Amino acid sequence: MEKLRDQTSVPAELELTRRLVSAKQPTVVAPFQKERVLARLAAQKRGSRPARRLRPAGVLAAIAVLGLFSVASAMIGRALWRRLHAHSAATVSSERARAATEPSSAVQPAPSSPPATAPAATAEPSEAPKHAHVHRPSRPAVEARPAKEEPAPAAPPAPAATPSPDTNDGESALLAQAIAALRRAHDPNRTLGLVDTYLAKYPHGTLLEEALALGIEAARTGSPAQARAFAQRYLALFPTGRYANEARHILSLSQ
Amino acid sequence: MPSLDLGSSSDALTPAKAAERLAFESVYSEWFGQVVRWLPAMGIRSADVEDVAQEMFLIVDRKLSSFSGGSMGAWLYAIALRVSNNHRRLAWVRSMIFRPAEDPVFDERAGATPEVDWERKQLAQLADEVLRGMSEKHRRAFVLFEIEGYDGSEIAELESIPLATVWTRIHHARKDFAARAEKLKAQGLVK
Repeated sequence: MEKLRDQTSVPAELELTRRLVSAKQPTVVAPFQKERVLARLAAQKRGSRPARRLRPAGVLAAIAVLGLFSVASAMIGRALWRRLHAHSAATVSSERARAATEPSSAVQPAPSSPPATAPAATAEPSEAPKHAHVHRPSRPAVEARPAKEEPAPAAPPAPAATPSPDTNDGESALLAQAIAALRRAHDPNRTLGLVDTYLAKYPHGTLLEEALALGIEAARTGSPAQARAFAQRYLALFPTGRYANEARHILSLSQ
Repeated sequence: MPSLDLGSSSDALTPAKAAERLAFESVYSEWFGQVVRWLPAMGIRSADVEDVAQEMFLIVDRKLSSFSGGSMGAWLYAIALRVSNNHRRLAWVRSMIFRPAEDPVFDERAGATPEVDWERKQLAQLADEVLRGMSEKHRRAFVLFEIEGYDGSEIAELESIPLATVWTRIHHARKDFAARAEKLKAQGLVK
């Protein structure tokens, strides 16, 4: 292949190309260029670089760009921080608001609650909400609000929060209250009251065995006679039950 | 030519280091002229050729001991290509902050009249514009062959490619260059 500039005649479509190429001269090493680069190399190796001429407008533009970038980054970061903070604050406040509204909403169904649960609720009004199957995000908020907004215990929230025994799950709810009164509140009298209520309402309930066992446990310290009565009834109904040994033990103590 | 004093004067040269320095000086002396011709083909402006050459020979000085034989030209060409690519990538930053170097005087054609010189400069600038739009491979092959005067086999050795590939690249580069030049002509930029 022959170089364009060496060709005597070229096709018409390459004529302009040849003119442009011919205008470009081959690179030649300028006088002292080799020595100049060598000297700069040596200077660079020694650590001294020739100072380059700065373009003031360019430097200012670079500083301005960096400044703008910094400011923009700071603003974006601040906005993100505020948004995050506002979101978390909103979450907390909404949870508090929910917690605050729960007791008041629980008051509404109070009149319809059966009288059977009322004594238990009045005996320990602050305990009842704990057993209700209601979502509580934070305990302090729940306990603080009713005390502040409802100083008079005219409308105790406990009966409302207590699931009604008339409902389908009333049987288990009633027994759950009795268990909680014994385990958490350490109130065996209330437990015995609730167990009596259960036995009266559900004499053939599905949780009868558990109710009798709970009655034995609640009565064993305070009223041994009642404990024996529960034990006898338990062994009569469930002679091979899970708590039969415990019942027998109670009976053997009394002999 | 001054000798390259790359170490401090107080350094005592071991025979091995002295040999290395001598080797670098001979490489520099032999290949500087070639490197200066390659760089425009790699898209380096004539005003930046010295900077890039300096940067490149600094790397050569550092890596000469690791040269494992073969074609010294191809080895140097590969280094020049990498340095040129890096230089072009950061060219816009440098152009924004630093003043552009003045055009070297050796680029002028001696003895040309002002009119002829002006017309030649115009055409050369248009040629540069066309070359800037071409692909890297085509531009390198085209500039080395058509402008710098290398022959096909020399380009093949530098690029480490078969000779047929060089001819193919030059063929396509000519067509590409002609098409781009015709566009300039259609815009009235060249008669």
